[in-house]
Amino acid sequence: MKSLKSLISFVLVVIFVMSVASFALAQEEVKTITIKAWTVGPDDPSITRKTNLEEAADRLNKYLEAIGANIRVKMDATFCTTKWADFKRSNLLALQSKDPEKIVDIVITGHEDIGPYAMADYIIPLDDYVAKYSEVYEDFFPALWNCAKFKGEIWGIPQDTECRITWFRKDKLRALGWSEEEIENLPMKVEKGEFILEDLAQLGKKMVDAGVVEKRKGIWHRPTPGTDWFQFIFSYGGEISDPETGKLVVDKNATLKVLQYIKKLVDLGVTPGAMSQIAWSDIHTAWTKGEVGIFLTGGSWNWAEWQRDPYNVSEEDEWKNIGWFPIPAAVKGGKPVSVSHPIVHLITKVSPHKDLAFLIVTLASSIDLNTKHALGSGHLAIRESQLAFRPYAEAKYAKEVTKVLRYTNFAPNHAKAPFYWETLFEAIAGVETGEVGPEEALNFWVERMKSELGDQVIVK
Amino acid sequence: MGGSAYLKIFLFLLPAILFTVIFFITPAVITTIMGFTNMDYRFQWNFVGLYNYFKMLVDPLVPKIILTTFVYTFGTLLIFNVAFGLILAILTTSIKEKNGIFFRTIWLLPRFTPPVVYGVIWLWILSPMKEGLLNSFLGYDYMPWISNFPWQVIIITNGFIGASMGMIIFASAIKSISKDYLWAAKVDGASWLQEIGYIILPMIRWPVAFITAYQTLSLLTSYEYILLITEGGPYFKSTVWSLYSYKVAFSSYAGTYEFGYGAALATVLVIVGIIASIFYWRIFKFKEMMEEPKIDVV
Amino acid sequence: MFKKSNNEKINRRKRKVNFREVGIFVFLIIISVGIVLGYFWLFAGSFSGELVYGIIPKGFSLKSWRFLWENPFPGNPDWPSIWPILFNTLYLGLGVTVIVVSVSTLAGYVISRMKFPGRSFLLASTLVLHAFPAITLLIALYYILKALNLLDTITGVVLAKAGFFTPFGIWIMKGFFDGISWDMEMSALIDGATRFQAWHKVMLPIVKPGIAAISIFSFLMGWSEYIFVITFNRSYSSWTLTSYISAIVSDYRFSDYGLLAAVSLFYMVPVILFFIFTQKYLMEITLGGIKGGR
Repeated sequence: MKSLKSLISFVLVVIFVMSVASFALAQEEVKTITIKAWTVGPDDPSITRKTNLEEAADRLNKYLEAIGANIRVKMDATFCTTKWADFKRSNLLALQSKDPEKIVDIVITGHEDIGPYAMADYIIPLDDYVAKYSEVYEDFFPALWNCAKFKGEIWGIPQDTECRITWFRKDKLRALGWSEEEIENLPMKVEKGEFILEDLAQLGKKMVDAGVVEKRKGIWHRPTPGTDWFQFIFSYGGEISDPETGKLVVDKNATLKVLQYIKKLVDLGVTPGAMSQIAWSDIHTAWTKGEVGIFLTGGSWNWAEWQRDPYNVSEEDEWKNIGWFPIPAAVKGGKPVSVSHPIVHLITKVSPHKDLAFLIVTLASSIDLNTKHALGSGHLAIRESQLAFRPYAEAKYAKEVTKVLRYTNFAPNHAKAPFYWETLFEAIAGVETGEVGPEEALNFWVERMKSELGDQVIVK
Repeated sequence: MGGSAYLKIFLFLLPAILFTVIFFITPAVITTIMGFTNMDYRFQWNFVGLYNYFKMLVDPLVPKIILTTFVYTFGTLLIFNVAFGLILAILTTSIKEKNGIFFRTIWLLPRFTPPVVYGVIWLWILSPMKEGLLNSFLGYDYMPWISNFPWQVIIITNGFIGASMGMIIFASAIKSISKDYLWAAKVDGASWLQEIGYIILPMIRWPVAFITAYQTLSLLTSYEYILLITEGGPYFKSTVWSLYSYKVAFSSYAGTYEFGYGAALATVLVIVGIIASIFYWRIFKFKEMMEEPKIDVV
Repeated sequence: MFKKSNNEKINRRKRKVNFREVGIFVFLIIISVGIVLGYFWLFAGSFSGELVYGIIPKGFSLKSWRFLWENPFPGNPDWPSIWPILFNTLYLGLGVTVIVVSVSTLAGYVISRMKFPGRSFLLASTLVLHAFPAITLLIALYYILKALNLLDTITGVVLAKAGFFTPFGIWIMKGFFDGISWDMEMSALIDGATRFQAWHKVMLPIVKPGIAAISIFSFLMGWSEYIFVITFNRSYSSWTLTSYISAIVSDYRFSDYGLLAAVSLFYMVPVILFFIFTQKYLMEITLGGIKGGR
């Protein structure tokens, strides 16, 4: 009898201990949800696109822990450092499989993907989500939302932006005999429309003639296709998309003038005909060594880029020798132009945690995190309050260059927009290398656009 | 031969067949079918019949590309892959063997180099600015080599890579020629050139024929180095058919993928390749290579 | 035809031969100098501090080789170490080699030796398949690899490349088998060996040169594969050296020529070693029966 009693009590003790233990364990049992993301640089400093998502997840976990919630978030993000083309191709192949195992929750990419992805049903519209966090999103620059909209709905959350500008070397102007006052006033003249594209070409010529720069090093530009080239079409009064129908527009008149301008730069001996064959690194090296007078199609991020390896120009030197202005107008009295290429956050259609993913994006868009990204990678503020945020306000360069955003435009969110700017560059490079004349190049390009886009393009 | 014999043969061949079918033939068939759709980045199989092929007929770039492809393929093939390959093979086997190996290794280096780096090296050589290698040597201030000589550039840059395959295979074939023949010729008083003309060349004609046929196809379908060095420019002057197919399907910067049209272009290339193969098969009488096996018993 | 034959002429030829050999040697040096220059630039660039243009290196430094022991891009803390990637690339190169060699020797033997219907057609079609450019099969291959659950793996690329290169291997191996006399095989069979034993114990050792020949090209195919890896394998764990190099030459960042040169040399060394290792055999390849001089 005694042994049976002790056995029963033993069993009861065990049961008691186990239930207490499991209760305690259950208290600590925490559910972790993994949110996945594809992010891209490809430049190293833009790694903050990835780390901001991770920090956002950390903050969220901190808050959850503080209130004793049993749920945590794990951020699993990749960061692509190779090429835009490779990044997009891999994304596309995975997205089209519609396999949730292969697709992430958040995609960070250029805004031009919104059109194609929305039409292919890879991403979701975000108007409702934005409304839930209106206090955050109302702070974003209103004009910035234009790049994230497609057919009237919001499909992406802006992550950063920049603007394209023309750089000039102050030391070359000094060598030409310009006074400091004249040099400082140059950007203002551009804004007033007193200094136009033609003047810029002539300025380059003066530099070459005076021997201040070598032949063909007066004005250099980007050797690759890009949205920068749209700036010149805008400058000559052209348009590239029709806001009502959303179709693309080919403005023959303005485009012809752009091609003629490029030809003129080569004829004046200011730009080499083989400009499109010179590598980016050679361009930056020549610029930072002070061999080139004007860099026609630069970007606001170049400033930070030149401070790093391997160029290592000090900020002081930059202020002393390098100045900028938006792309000048084409006629006197016109307004200068710029173009921006914002990066956006997208939420995928097959994501099983859309709300949580969006919360992460919202937290990653906080003022301090976004400013860290902007200042670290040479991008610009996306929110009004960032302008007053001390680190940004104290960054003299960032503050100054943000003013160019007044004049900025975006590439249209049309599936064929990349085709537009790629083939446009084909024409530009063709004219520049002397392979084909401006009229012929224009006509050929228009043919290509028509045959490729059919009724999606309006030809003016 | 009994049924079991055929079964054994089949088993021997099975791995090869399986591999080739799954990883080569199936994708090839899928791609051909894709040529009849207007598939783009949306990956939808919308069948449009022969639309893509009509598009090819009215595409203004196509005639230019055909000419470039023709010049590039046969120029590189004849000058470099075959002629240079032969010259290198003969020369490197006419000197001391270890020197021969030394030179063959040098000529294989382009093939061993990562394509990106090979491109970078050539871009440095051909740079238009005065720091480029060619310009430094020739004392030119500015000379846009790639713009001015696109065809020569693509032939030469691809030729350096192409010559090595012919060189290796021909050299090996030469090395296999029984020494008796060469000695007999020497004893008979043949000069070196006569040796080459009467003994060596005839005895390696099968490898030469095979390489000619094979490399025609290789060149028809190659575009990687062209993409890296000239990008098909200036203004399409060095765009060959395979490069065009690639660009159309996987364009260089943003996502204007047109898989349907690209697949159709690729299919045309395949048809041309097949015609070329049949042509070579007949002309070189490859059938003679197929000796009847003497042993039927399994 | 070669009527005049006497010892004197042969002796005179021997002296002429030396003169000719020197002439050939010099000629080869002249035409090869371009290549040597280009690779010297690469080599020098990896060991000197500054060398963009200009062939003379300035100062010796191992800075470009730092990728061997540390992260060469401090701005990107996730940058992968090169060693696992080297391992991946070796796996890819050797994997393709093993598969192509084994499959080609089997098929090449059968096509060379045995009579069966469709023999000619099979061989002809292996040539024709080469007309399909690999790149256009990209999409289709994506579907297939996905179905086999082999995306984002090295194994998937191994299989795809092997499938691609097998036709070439079959042609070459057939040529080698053709070059072996019937007598050897006949005597083995008469001695009581099965067909398979004859193949394994008698033929294979003789065609080792052919195997070495396909090996170098197969290895190179795998080692240098770029487009498949870049498209199918996104994660660092399935990168190969080609992805690594491509990542160095990215859209904007590229300016460190020294690092690129060093990594390229690192990439080329294993291939050169593999070649030298197999080169002895590479010299005896034959296609279509040299013996008999038809």
